[in-house]
Amino acid sequence: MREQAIIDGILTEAPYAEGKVRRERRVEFKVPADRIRDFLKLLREKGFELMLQITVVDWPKDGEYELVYQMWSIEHRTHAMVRTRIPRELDKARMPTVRDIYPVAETYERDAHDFFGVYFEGNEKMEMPWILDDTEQGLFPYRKDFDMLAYVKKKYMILDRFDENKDNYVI
Amino acid sequence: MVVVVETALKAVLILLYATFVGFMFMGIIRIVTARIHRRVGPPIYQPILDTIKLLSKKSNITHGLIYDFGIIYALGATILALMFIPLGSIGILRMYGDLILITFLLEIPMLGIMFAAMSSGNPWAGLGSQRALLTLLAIQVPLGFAIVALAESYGTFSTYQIVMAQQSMGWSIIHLPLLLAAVAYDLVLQAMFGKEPFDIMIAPGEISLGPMVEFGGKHMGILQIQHAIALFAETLFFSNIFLGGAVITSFASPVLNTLASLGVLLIKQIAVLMIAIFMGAIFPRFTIDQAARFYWKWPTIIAATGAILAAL
Amino acid sequence: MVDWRLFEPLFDFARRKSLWIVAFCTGCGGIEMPPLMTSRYDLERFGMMPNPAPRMADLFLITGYVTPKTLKRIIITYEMQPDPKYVMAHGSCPLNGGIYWDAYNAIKHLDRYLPVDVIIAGCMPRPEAVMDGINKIMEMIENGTADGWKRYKENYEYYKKNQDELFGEGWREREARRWIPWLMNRKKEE
Repeated sequence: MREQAIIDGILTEAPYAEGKVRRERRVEFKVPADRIRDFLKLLREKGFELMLQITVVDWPKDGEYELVYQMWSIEHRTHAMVRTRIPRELDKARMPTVRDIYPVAETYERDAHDFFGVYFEGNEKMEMPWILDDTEQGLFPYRKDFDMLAYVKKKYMILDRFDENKDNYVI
Repeated sequence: MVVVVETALKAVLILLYATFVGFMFMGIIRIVTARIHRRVGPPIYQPILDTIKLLSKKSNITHGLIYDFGIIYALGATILALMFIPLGSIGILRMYGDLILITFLLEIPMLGIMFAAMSSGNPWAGLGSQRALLTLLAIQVPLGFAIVALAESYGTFSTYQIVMAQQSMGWSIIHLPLLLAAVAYDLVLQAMFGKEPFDIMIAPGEISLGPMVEFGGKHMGILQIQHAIALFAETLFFSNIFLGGAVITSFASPVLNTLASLGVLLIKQIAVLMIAIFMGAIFPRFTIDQAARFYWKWPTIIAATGAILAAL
Repeated sequence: MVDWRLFEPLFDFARRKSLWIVAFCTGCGGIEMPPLMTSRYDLERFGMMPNPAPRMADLFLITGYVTPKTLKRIIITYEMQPDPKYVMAHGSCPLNGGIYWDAYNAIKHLDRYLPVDVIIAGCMPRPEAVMDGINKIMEMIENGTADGWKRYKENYEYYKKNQDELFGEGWREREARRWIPWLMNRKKEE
């Protein structure tokens, strides 16, 4: 199978990673967080030219963020997901940047920093204002323990006047 | 004394007529464009309503003396140009109106608008003014050759004498050299109207109206009036020098003669306008370097050929 | 001197029949504007014209949800317009938050920060509904009830208080200076 051949070719040079075939033209890798730069450099050599996105998934029960690097190879016509896990605490959620390997990663890293608080070391635009406003900096609204409703009521001064049992919020 | 009053009255009447017809031309442009898009389009008096609305705005923003002066300068230059162009058998300064003067006066309103726009400090206005200046520079070459062709052919620079000469020897465009000059001049007219292939200086979606971006309220109202008069004057100039003008003497009464020549001129002007509208509706917009390259190539070659043929 | 009040009916007719639009295409309402302008619904037969420059605009369309960041720009654009100016908000998001009622980043009541003349209900209003709203605003101009620009001047303290509560005191200066440190850094690097 073509996908299995790609994975085997990559895993012989990167024994620290695990890989499996999800389905046709879709492969998946699991990498420890400190080896992500080596692995992405390897992927780039192996023909994965494009980085599509960096997504962050919040797993509050495990106390971990899952970072998914979505890569696309024009040569192999294959989509690769590179998963890695880092701790969820704000001071420990740190990753090395991959901006020098894939320049487009700058945008997605700033995105993840704005909304989840993942700090990418080495990206000097990390502190630059991005999507969120100044008053919303340091709020990290996409974390699952962020109390959205209380924040909205406080910020936009919405009263609970139509709310009868105080459990069910009605606007 | 009587002469002064009569001249002043004539001037006011010409101005009123030109303004009214100019507004109708703007309405025609919008209606015809709408019909080409298969829309209903606004009523023909829509530009007049726009101007009344703009003049009746309750607050007005000014950016200093040059900003106000540029608008007045543009309007004044356009009115002066109108006075020099023969309008049938009437015309205040028609004896003194030579080709170069009128062409110059029809171009400098853009300079006034650019002064005003630049003094506002808006970056879009500055960018649009640069493009307008470059367009102005680009149209000079074919315009100059077209005028040289005319002057060579008729042996005079006077617009009035050219109109009179056309009464005996037929319209200019039936002679080959002048036909070439007319084609070049019509392409130039497209940029002077600010119509589509060469309207990068006021491109609405790209640089948000360019030089016009800061004008609002009464300034924009005056600019609308200026645009109406300029539209009238430019089409009138073209129909005078290339389409034979109109000097009708077949009626006994001078009033009837004047009205008939105004009517003939109106038909010719609308024909010129229609060509501009159709060209504007068909072609997309040139970027500024494409426009300059186009003007320095094809219209220049055509007009220069015309000038050489006329000189032979 | 001419008494311009005599001409007010004419001016009102002209204002009603020649509304120039500046559309702040936030949210999903921006996609409803092209059918309004093109051959199917053709707003130009009422004398309306889309216009990119706020200095010569009369009708300000806010087409969809408004985030605090865009609200700053909306307020500045609104204040740039010369004076008889009218605001029309599309859809339920500017009205009460709509489907973004619990989003941290969407304004819930637009009329706390700007005087809105007409709000069109719907999610998203069809072009027919927008045309109905425009008809309504024309009626309101005719009988003199479209007075949002007067209300903004008279109740400026109220609007300013709400704006300052949302953005913090001195937000205009802060917004204007926001990028200066980064631009200075960049210059140093080069």
